[in-house]
Amino acid sequence: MIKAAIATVAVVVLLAAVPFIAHETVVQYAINALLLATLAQGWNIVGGYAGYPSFGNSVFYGLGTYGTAIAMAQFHHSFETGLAWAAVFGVACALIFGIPILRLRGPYFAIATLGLSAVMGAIAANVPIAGKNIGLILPLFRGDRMFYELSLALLLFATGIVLWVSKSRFGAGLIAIREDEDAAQVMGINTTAYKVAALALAALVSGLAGGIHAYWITFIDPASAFDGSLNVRMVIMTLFGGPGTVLGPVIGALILSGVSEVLASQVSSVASLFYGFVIVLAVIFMPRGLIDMLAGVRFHGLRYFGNNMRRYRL
Amino acid sequence: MSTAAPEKIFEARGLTKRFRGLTALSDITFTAARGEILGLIGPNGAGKTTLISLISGTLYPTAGEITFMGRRIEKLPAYRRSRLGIGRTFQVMKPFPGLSVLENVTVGALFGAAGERNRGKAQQKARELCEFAGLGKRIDQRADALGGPDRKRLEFAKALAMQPKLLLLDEVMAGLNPTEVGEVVELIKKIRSTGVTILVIEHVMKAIRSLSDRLLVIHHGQQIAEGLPDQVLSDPRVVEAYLGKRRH
Amino acid sequence: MGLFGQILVNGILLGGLYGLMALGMGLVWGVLNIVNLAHGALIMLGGYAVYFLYTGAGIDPFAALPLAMAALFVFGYLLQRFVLNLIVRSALLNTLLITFGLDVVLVYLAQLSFSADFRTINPPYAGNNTEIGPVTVPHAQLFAFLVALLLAGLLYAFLSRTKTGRAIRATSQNLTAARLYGVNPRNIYCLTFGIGAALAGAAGGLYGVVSQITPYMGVTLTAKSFVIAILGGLDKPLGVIVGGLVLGIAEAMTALYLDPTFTDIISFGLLVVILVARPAQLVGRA
Repeated sequence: MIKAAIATVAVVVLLAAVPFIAHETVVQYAINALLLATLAQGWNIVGGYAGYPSFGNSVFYGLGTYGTAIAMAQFHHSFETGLAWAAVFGVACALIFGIPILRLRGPYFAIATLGLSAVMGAIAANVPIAGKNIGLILPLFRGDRMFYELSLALLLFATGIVLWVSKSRFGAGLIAIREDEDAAQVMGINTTAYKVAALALAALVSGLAGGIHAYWITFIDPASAFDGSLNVRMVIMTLFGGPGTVLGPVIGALILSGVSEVLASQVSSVASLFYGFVIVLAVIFMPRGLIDMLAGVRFHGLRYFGNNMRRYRL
Repeated sequence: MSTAAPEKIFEARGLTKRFRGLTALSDITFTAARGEILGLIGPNGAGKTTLISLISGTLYPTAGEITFMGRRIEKLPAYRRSRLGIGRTFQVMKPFPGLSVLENVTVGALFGAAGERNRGKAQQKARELCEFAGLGKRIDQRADALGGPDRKRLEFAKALAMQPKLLLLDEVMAGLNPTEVGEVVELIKKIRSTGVTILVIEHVMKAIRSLSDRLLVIHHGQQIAEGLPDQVLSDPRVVEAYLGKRRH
Repeated sequence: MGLFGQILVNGILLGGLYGLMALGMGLVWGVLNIVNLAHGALIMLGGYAVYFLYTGAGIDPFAALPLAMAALFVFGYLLQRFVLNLIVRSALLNTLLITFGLDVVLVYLAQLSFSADFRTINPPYAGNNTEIGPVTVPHAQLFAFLVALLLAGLLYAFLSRTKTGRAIRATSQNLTAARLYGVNPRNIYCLTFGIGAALAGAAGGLYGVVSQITPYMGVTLTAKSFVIAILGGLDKPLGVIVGGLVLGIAEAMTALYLDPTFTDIISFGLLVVILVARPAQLVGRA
């Protein structure tokens, strides 16, 4: 226990030191990676623990983006207020739409969330206060260091929430819902309340990520705020790293975005080809994620792969 | 026998369930007292599991009332009833497949009427219950890797972990050999001695006869007899309902 | 009134094609429990196949359709046989993921091979019209619509009248029982996916005649196929065609009375409302 705590603190200190020692472009890449990792952790709560795979968490990110942008660009509030708005926008959406949408299961839930994200994006593109299609411009702030540390803090916060979920009664309830929702209900779990709470937690961190990103890049518009590709990326990163684990999404996000950055600097569009192949191979060989594979291989050796393939193929 | 009449904790009145033109249950009325074992018997398809589902909240009645511990519960969702103290096992076992036996039972200890908030303490209670139910050796195995009899023990342990005041058992003895049946009978009696009321659906006649304080007989969704076991089992309508079926 | 009628006809004609697009996705989803996010890519490949058969070998697009369908059938069969069969019993989410990965690969390869230019398939009769009352019916769209209906009808007949078709339906309902009746799941699965791919290919070829093809056309088409397949009840061909018509008409009306930018909201909004309002019908499927 002590060893793990010391290691954790060491890693965090190291990460916090990055902007002071690394090159500018590395810091920028890192900010993106940290925000993505936060999104992945948010998804992890709803998709990994509760078993409700959302394909539209970008809606919370987008609402967070617009929340901060509207607060700062239209009403000239401070960044702190902007972030508060981001959180409120995101969580409100989860609470309002969560109840009807969480009644759906599996792919239907996934599609409904996709639909929600598309609709919100279209609404943002048509509402004057959100700048319609043109978007909004926030006050300029130069200081990647600040954004880096803030993004790191947000990721730590999100990971802390997931850690709490993994050890709490609430988390046990989410897992029960994932494993068998009907049995969970009969065992005394208020499944609706739990699911909505999980979605609200995901919305909170996703919205804050959007808010930070908005102030960082200064200019936002509907397409980039409600960027659909974010959804796929956060899902893949979580599944790659290990859904339902505390560190899986972080590791998945850091590895996948790291490698794709490296590739992108060499041959630009090959990155997407890489993504595609990795996903296909990952689903075949490590259907339960990287962390499960590492643990499984340590325990069972290479038989882990054989067992998996036998279990999941026709 | 105590001189005071045992407190009635459960009452069903006029319970009816219709599914799109098919009447699964009609006008079921009965009561159960604290610490009583009520046997629910009847030919297959009579509606016994439907009745259990109406009481646990998995289904809602088309008509009728259910009163538990003085509260009307027929409109409450399943999780609320579970927290009030109604626990059930499922005929088709529903373990949490990806979780271990211990984790499965821990969920029961965390929720239900017991509502233990601390996960560590809940796990401790779960551990004890697993031993109690004979699952000690399998405590860390995945639930979906268990064989038939062990799955039954798991269902039991999960339900018990919730510390129910009314326990609904749906054919827990199916597929067990006579020795195992005897063990389960003893287990059920032990649970009853702690003050739990138990409603048992069972086909193993010998067991249910020795276990039940009273019997309720359902046939084609209707209540055809209710009372002391010997009386009920010699009732000509009950005999007729079972005509052609082997009596143990 | 004339404008309304015109838009309505446009919507119907497009809707029929939409329905054809979704047929394959619904079939694969209903029978194999695979939600194929690469479906749009298959449509796209069909479009390019017909394009090159027309511009390269001079074969009339409608005559080239069977050839493109055959090619895509083989491609789909092999994909199922060597890749998808490996994960078919995995969680549904994994099928979403793996098909997503395949989609990314296919789109990238297409862009590499065909470049991102917009292309249209322009047979000489493409510009011809027929006037029916106040409404102008373009020939290309009309033929596409008729072919779509024809293929849907053939699929329906295949599923309900032929032995193989019934085997497919049996597999979708209960794999274990179907196995007991001597159905070979591997063949059936590969066959089903192949048919789905072939139908997608046909839709792509027709789409190339009435609209344009690019390597990226698949993304929105996959999303639309989702919506339509769900509306139509997955592996019920006639229902899916109706779903396509509903979407086609809804889009046309939205573009006319509201704003073309609202069409996406309408399709998704419609979907979300239907999903939420009638979950009981669909919850069982998941």
